[in-house]
Amino acid sequence: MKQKQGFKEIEHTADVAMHVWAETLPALFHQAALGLYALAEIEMQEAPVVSRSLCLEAQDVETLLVIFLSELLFQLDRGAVLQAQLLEVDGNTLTGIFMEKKITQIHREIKAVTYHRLHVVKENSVFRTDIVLDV
Amino acid sequence: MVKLNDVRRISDFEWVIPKSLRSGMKTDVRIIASRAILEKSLNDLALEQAINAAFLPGLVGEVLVMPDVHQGYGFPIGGVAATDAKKGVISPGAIGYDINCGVRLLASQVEFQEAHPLINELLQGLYDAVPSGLGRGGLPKLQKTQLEKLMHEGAGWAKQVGFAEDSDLELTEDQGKMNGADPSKVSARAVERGAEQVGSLGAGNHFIEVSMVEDVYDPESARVMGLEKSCLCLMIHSGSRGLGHQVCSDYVQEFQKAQRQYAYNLPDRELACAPLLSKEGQAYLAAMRCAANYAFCNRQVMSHLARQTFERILAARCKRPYLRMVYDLAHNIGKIEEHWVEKEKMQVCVHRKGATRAFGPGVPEVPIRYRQIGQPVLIPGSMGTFSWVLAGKSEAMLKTFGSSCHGAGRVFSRKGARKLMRGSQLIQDLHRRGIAVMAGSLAGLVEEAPEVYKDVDEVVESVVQAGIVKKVVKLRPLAVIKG
Repeated sequence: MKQKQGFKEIEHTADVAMHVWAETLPALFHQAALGLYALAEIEMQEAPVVSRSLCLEAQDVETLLVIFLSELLFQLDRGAVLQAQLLEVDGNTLTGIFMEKKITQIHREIKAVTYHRLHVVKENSVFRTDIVLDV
Repeated sequence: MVKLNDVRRISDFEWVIPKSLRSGMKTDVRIIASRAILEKSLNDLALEQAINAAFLPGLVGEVLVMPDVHQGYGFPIGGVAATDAKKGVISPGAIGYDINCGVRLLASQVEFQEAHPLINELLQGLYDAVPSGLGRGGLPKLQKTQLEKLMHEGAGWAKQVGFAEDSDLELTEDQGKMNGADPSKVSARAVERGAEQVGSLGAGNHFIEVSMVEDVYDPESARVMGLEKSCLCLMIHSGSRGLGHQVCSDYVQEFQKAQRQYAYNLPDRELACAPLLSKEGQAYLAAMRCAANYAFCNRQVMSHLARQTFERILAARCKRPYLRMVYDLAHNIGKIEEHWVEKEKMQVCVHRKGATRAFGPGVPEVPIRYRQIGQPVLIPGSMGTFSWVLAGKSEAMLKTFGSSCHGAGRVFSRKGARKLMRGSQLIQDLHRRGIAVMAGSLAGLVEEAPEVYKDVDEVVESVVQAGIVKKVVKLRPLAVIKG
């Protein structure tokens, strides 16, 4: 795991899970979003449809991450992918500008983002967490 | 991780993890399993999750673990926990995101030999008639007021629009309608997600399976259930789709705040809970019931579409191509029920996650038709293996809050399954075994290969030997649609 940021699918008996890491919190959230889309195995149109902004608040960073990924899941259900153009995480607040693209295919249904094993920690200047998704 | 030494043997099929194992456990964990299944269960976090569930405030009796147990998130799949209905909590995570995910079995008097040449056509017809995979259902998008009525009425709504018969409702758990549903407690997002998915199978482990009665173990119970040797059956496994997922997500989120308010200190945030009688607890209960009713209705609409297809395709060759209802049950649900706890009859909130209600003979909640024999318990196999129909016994009421296992239970991860084989190879393997398959995604199909599940016969043997159910019939799969 020498890359400065990324995500990697990890073993889980019934559902799907990933390990996510990055040097900053915004990058961690961005990688988690990319991991979610990768695990949902989406295909999308290249042309963006619209620009969309998000502002989310929570009582702690783990809750913020769950709310953020749940928002992306909700948009998936509406047939949209949100690609981050600008993403900031300041304390327990997330703000971002996203390019919305239309999905052409989803190969795996993800039902929900869970709190199970979700602990955002900082080790050796790298933020990391596991994320378990219900499928 | 839990070790074998931490588990005390009660009998060959019952084991206990005592609450003394970990500070904070409020009750013991009882595992219903053969020794071989127990040992396999130590390989993932399933029993750790059962121990975590034993921290829930207001538990009564033991946390129960069924032999199909495997690792979920927060609460194990194959877990049962009951809380005091007055002083205990309700936990959305202990019920799951796919609220009232469940199974329905329909049976016919069509013999396999008669229908054999039409099985592939039937499979294609079902695949075309019942939407599977992600996205829309078999009905046009519903208006908000229609959906509110559906959430209130459950499968009864399907009857009002001509998609159900009286016996369909009579033979559904709770007659297809949980009372106390309040659509005002369901978010706008959940309504939006649910509006166009009524009558859809979904993806993952959801399926429609055509099978035949292979063996009859209890002829009288089989007769009462209308299950005849060599005759075709149809099983549907699905749940509450996006509406249920959103309801659970909303309240797991809402309940995070309640943890501080009520000073709960649970080992896993996914178990977040609130007192059942609190404002939050009652709101979730009312919303959860809406999602449960949506799921009952969803399976009913799919049954109607499947029934029409079955009759249309088999009418050319078979005398009585009619599918009659056997039973429909929930396996992700929270129920207020009356049970004996330490010689006292009390109201409890039974959380069943990947566990099936298995009420014994004489219990008023069991439909009149089955009250003498016990509630039908439907145990799907794993696409290439047998499924089972069991019946609840009185011992289940005393030992497991009237609960049993819900399936075979996974042993292999989805990631691992994809390395194991290719979709085309799996389809060929199943074909050689006389099982026709259609799936929206080959990769998704591989994730559900029979090899990734426990031996369902061994799972069933555990619940039978523990005395909580009896065998009625065994079903051989013939054709499967995977969502």
